[in-house]
Amino acid sequence: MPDVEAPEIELDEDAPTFRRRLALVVVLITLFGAVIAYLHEQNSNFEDNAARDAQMASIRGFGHQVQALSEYGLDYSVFVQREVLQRRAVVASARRRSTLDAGLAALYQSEGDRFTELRDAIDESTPVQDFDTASERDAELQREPDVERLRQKVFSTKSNDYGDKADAYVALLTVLAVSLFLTGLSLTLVGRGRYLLAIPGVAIAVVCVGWAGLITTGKITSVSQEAVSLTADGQRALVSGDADAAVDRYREAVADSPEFGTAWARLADAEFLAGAQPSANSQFQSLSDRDATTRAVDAGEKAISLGEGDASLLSSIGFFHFLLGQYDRAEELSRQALEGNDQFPPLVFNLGVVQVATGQASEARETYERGIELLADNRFQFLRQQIIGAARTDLEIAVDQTPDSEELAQEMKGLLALAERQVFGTPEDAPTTAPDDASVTDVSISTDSFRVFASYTADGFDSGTELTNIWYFRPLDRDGQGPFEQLFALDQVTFTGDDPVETFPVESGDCLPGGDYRVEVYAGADLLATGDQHFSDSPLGTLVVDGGEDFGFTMCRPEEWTPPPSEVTLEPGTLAFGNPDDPTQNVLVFAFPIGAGSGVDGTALLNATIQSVVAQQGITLDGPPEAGQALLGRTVDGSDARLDTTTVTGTNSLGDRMQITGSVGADNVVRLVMVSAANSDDLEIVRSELVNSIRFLRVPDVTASDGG
Amino acid sequence: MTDAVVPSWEGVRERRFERFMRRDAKLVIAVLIGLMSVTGAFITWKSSQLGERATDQDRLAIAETVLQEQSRAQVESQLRDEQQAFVQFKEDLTNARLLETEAESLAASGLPAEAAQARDEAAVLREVANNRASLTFDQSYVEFDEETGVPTEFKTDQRREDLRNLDDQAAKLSPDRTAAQAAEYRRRTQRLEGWTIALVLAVVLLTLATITRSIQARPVLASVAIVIYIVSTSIAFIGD
Repeated sequence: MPDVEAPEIELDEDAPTFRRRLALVVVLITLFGAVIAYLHEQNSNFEDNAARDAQMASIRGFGHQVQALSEYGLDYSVFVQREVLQRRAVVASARRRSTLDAGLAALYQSEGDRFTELRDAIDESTPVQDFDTASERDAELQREPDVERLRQKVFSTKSNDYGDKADAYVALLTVLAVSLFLTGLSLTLVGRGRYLLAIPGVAIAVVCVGWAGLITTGKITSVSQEAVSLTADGQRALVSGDADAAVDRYREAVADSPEFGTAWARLADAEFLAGAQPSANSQFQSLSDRDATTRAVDAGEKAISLGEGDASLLSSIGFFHFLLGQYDRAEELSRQALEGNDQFPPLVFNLGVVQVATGQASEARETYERGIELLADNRFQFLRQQIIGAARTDLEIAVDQTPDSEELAQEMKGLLALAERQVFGTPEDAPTTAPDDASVTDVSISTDSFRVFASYTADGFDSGTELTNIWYFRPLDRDGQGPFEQLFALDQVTFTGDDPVETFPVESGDCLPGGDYRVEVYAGADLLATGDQHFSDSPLGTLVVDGGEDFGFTMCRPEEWTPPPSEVTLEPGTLAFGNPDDPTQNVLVFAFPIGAGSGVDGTALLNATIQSVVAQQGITLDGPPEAGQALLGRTVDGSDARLDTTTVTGTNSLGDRMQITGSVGADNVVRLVMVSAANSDDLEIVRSELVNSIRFLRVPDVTASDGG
Repeated sequence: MTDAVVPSWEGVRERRFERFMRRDAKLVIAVLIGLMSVTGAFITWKSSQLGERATDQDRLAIAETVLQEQSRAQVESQLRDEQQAFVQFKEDLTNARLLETEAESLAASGLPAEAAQARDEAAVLREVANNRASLTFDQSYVEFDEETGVPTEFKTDQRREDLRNLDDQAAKLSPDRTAAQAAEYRRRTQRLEGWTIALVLAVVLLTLATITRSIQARPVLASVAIVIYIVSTSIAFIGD
């Protein structure tokens, strides 16, 4: 027998059938792969088109921005020119009134008329008429750049969506290759073993078919041009100060294109601002109506779910959650925001305040120290005080919501008080704590000419020790409830020495709004005393600001009071208002420069003017003129200065009480205020509410400084 | 016992067509599959070429947008300068007219020296305004009040249009058109890629024709595949 092993012959009866079927499977997978490759190509093309359009929109945004800026620059400079002509008309008119020479009076009269006509001619060249219209014009011009920015965002989102799809198809093709590999490999085996490869290969291909279906039906973010336009309109309204209109536009935008994340994000901000009270801290608003905050959270969460995730938005929505007491989500979003940007102090403080509210003492300390460290950077020098103010307001909210956090919040406020010393230029080696036996007592808050100031007794300090005074305010409509807002603009330092220690009187917004005022006195990081005071609104009703640079003064007047009827012509630079419910109550203010060439003595002219008014009105004076400093002026560098005044009081021919207060300064400008009322008590109210609110502008800096 | 009779094909002659269908047709189909694969590769290459062109057009469109926006910035800057100069021109000429009127009333009020001074000032203003205008903007864009001769309006839109047209480099640019060309190239690549699916379908049919046991079905399947191949290739290339 030969020593040869017979070859093993395996009988594989269904091999041809298997191969046939497998060949069919392979070509079908290949056909499917071709379809997927086509879809990948298609989505890649759409991605490239959208990416290109995004870049073009971005560049166009820059171009439109340049156009808007140059256009606004022109409009504003023409407005300035118009104001200059208006001022020249006022000066000419004043000179006419102050000269005794009839010829010169005629000359000044015709000059005044000429400047007025010139002003009107220039007026047609610009839509900017005042600061409000300037702001509106700016918002209008910024619309086009904003449209391009939004388009860029829409195209970028679209590009990302198509890119994601294309990437998914590539992944699918890779898996499909595995399927083909397994199927092909099964041909190399015989018997049942080949099915162990063929079946998974086919199964993978089937799964790929389902996967492809999911990818293909996946949505691409769709945003219409109309939605972009509405969103830009919303931004325009918001910049113009009309948050309600902005909310309407944004809502229309998201109704039109519910996937427009940017519109949702902007809606969140607008909702919050629409519910907010006018604030001293316009850039970092902390307080808003609860319903508005809830709506803001809803819109913000929708924006986040649509992929909006910049640090600022996340931090804002986190802060809104904090305001609603939803601390877990607030902390989560604040942390996410810091992952995106941990270099902007407000984002850091937004996390810190949540940690304070939830009693995480060591974490809060670390976070606030980090925020304060960032704040020391020079790039925040113009925002530093605003940021600190907003952080203090946030701590007030934390204490209001979780009273247990008061001690920790106070510790953080101490750190912020130290940080604010950088604003005041306090030497770095100044003590950071109060001496052990030091105290501040008898803190009181008072007003002076619509300005608030604090006074107190400081004991146990070395003379000249610096104290920091931090101011807070809660408006009347809160009825003494809820958190205070920090008024950073009123903060100042005082120095111990002669008691009582007094802060400079400073204005708190326009026309000293009524409400609760609070001052905290710190030595370093130590809070030594707190003073509270409630002020009611004016007995004359809601006061609004009037006047301005072109009048040479500003004043507060009751909103309901009206100017004289149109047939009464006021001299340029004059404001007059009367109470429609009580015709005896009136106020008239004017300021006019005396012509240098008129040769008239200022004091003599002032006296003559007062005498002329007294004679015109038939006033019987109570007594001789009284000297005083009844009027307040503001120098060009913004300091307040008391003006030497002459005041006469009397009764006119109708029996109304009248008071005339005049001043003429070293700048040869006559400033005169006249008030009237039915009786002495009413006259005192009108005087204290209106005359005290007047600020004559650009007064000379030679009089006694009075704060500011 | 006799030996078993073994049947034999000897003497049996296979018909030519049947032999072709059994053996040679598979060879032809293999060749056809190869041909279709080569055609598919060519279409893919062509599509890739078009894709490259689309990318080039994208870059060009962006570069054109940059140039166009630079030109826009330049035009707007010049336009604002001219508008500013026009406002001054308008103010000066209006002032001159008003001074002349003022001079008349001053003269009537018995102030001849002041009247003369006003007239003199008006003349100077007019001279300076015209001189400045000639140096700063084209007066053909200014509308004048026919009665007073005072300028009333600067034709901003027309001037902007002309300034843009004057910038011949930017005027001939059309980034939107270039972007549309890029999109068109991409549409063509897409179209070509689409026809490769038809080619693969033809390959599927040829594969079916190869593996089928039905001799009647084979030529039908192969014919359909060939028709698909010819039609899709023709449309792909002729229509492009």
